Amino acid sequence: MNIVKASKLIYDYIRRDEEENIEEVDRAIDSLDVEIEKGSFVAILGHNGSGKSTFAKQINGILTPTEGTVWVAGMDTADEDSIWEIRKKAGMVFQNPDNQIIGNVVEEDVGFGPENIGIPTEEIWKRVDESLKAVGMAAFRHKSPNKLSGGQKQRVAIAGVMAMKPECIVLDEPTAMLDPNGRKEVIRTVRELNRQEGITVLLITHYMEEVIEADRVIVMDDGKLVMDGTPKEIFSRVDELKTYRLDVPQVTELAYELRKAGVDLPEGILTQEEFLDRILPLLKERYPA
Amino acid sequence: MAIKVEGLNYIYGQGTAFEQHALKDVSFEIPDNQFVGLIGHTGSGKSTLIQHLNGLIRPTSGTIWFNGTDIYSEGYSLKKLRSNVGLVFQYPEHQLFEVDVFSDVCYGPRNLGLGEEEVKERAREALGLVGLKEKYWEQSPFELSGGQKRRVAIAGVLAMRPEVLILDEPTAGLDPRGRDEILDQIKELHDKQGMTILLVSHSMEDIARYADRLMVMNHGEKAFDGPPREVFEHYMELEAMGLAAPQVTYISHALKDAGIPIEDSITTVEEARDAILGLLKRV
Repeated sequence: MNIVKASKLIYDYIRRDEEENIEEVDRAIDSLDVEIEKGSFVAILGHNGSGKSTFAKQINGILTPTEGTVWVAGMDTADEDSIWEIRKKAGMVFQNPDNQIIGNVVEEDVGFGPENIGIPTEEIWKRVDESLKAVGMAAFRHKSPNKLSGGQKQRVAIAGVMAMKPECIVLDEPTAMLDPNGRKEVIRTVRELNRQEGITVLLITHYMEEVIEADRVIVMDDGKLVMDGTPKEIFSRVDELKTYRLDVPQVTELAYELRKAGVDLPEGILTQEEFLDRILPLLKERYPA
Repeated sequence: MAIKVEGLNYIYGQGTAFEQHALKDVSFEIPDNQFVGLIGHTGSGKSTLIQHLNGLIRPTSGTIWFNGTDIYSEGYSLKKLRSNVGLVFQYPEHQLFEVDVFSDVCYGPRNLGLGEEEVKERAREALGLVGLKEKYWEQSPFELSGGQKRRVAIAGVLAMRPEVLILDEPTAGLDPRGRDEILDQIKELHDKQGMTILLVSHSMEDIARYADRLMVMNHGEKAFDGPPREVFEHYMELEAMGLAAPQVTYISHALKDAGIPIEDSITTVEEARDAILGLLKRV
């Protein structure tokens, strides 16, 4: 079953002059057909300007299609009557944690969303409890968000989305501004929400190491879907990825380079463990202990 | 000696309940034309430190010399210092504001009080240095891609003709190719223009590839300072600080632990490839 479906989706950014005449049309998404399976963890890659953020904004109706249709949990995003239902089903987390936090205290911030849609107070607190626990920030509930690290702030932002009881979370480069620890924290949180709570995750990122745990990787270029497969399949195609201005994790690149030089290694090695398992026997032959 | 810092201390909100010792006794020297990487977790003091270097923050105690002169000595022009030590903030494109790219880059030198011809000359030069094609110069900076906007913002600082260029995470949010392009450009400024570079980054891979020297900040103190390959040898301590080493460094250590005589201190994919190929070919 799909949670998100886009059919022949086109989105144009249209620039108009003072008389409202069209000056320039920039096609950000070009006839995109894609379905996202409910409960899956999907990573979306693509260079700056490839259309991935524009697509993300279609999913909770911040933008609606120029042509074609997007359905979220069966609802058409162009239907204005369903927009609030759609936003409850699909929450978004953005790049800069400081732009997303509004409460003076962590628990207030997390409760802001449910309060806005008229959830009874008792239920709000229940949701705040559960969401903060789910992102591992329960101990910080009475703290000021300003005193948190970047990774912690992003987890609070994710808790804020969780409190809306969504079926799907879209994260648009949530780790771009974080240090390595913050990055790990956020990715771990997102993965746990996916595995334990069954939330569908769409993760947009430029960090290739964050992609390897996804069930599926989609690569966008020029508003089109150009690659689609498991991380292993996608990262086996190193040269093709580079033509889309992308990269692979260092260990994948190393394995690829060695393979190119004639070393007997399989394609699409993604982790250090996998690499060591393959390279050690070859080296041990030469250097028996 | 471009920059020398001795016994630098900085305390935020001294005497209040929020007092925080952001820099503790930090000392170092950066010679001319060095390419220095600066890493540290969020809140380690690296941003506070770089703002000291062009006089945006005055230290609680300690001394900063630029080209041998104490920047807080009587009559020293901080305005001049700021054009000599260019600081590119995080997400510098948020500071673009002019109607077109060229005017935006002219803003800095014009404020130095230079003549109009000189201003334009510098803007042309700076835009050339960051590799932004002329066809974009008359466009609004807001119509450019993320990577291009960032080039414009860096050009705005280069137009001041700084001797030292400090960049705070210049590649955050850029795609891999955009990241490589910006870093290659910075490397070229270092190699060809002889500029001294201080690069703040969260990417250990980038530091390993570009920097001659790596300084690590932790809780306001300088924890490590040396060639990247030496610093990354302390990968366990780095991890305890919320940092890491490049992936290939971990791989070379794991191989060594398994009894493979691989060389120490591998930090780039090329080094790892050559080392492993060397081992496999030798019988």
